[in-house]
Amino acid sequence: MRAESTESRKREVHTRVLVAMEDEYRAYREMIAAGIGVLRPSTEVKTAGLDGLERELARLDPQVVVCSRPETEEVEGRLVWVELPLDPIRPMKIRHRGGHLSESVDPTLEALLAVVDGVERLPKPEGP
Amino acid sequence: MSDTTKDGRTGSSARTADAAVGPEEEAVWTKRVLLVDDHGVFREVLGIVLEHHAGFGEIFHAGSLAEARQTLGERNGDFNLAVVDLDLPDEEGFELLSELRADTPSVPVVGVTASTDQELRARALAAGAGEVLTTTASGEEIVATARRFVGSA
Repeated sequence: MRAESTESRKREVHTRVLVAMEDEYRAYREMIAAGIGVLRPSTEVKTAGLDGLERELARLDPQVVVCSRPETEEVEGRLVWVELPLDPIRPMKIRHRGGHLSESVDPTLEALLAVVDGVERLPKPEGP
Repeated sequence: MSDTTKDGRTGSSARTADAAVGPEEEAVWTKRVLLVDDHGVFREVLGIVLEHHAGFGEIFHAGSLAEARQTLGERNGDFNLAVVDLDLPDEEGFELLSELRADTPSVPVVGVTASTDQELRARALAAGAGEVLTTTASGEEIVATARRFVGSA
């Protein structure tokens, strides 16, 4: 297997998505990740539990985070944080870098994919 | 992405017989599953995964007991599998289990719950669930369970 640096791998993949939910809802996070992977094959989708989330965020450096919890701090490079509650009656909250916040009262996969698509359309940083 | 029809159906139902599939694949191809869960995103991705990784041909969605009843009525209960959220409000998941066992006993049901309470699991199995999965299950386990029940339908 050809060894790749993290930076070269990032250049090949258009959008990195991390789906993070508590281990009690492993099925949710793995299904959401799998669904995004099927419908948006150009994305790199990983999953993580909430324990050690900060470590995974630093390691994977995702541009989009789908999480059952709200964002605790803004990080450069992280473009969108989607708070997707496990309680279906609570709204999905989408926080974009720069502070723009939107809510979706009836969260759908389509709305989630729109976030990924929005990031995908952003101009990519030029390589060295 | 598969389009959603007016009756809430997604999947490969519009595919023609021109698709090159073997006999085993064709048998799985026409399998219909009813997904009942009030978490819309989870229900949608579950359908996508079951279609693409478990070979289900038609996926039907319901977000409540009422929607499930409507879909079951429209399809005359003609499903190969039902996946039911046992945590639906007002015990609707268990009510649906009872109705499925009474009206469509040939349809295997997999219950899904966030609870690890063994009494709840026993209650669901007694009510007609063929298997109960918790939300701690992996994606592979869910797909494998669905395929196992479809194979026995």
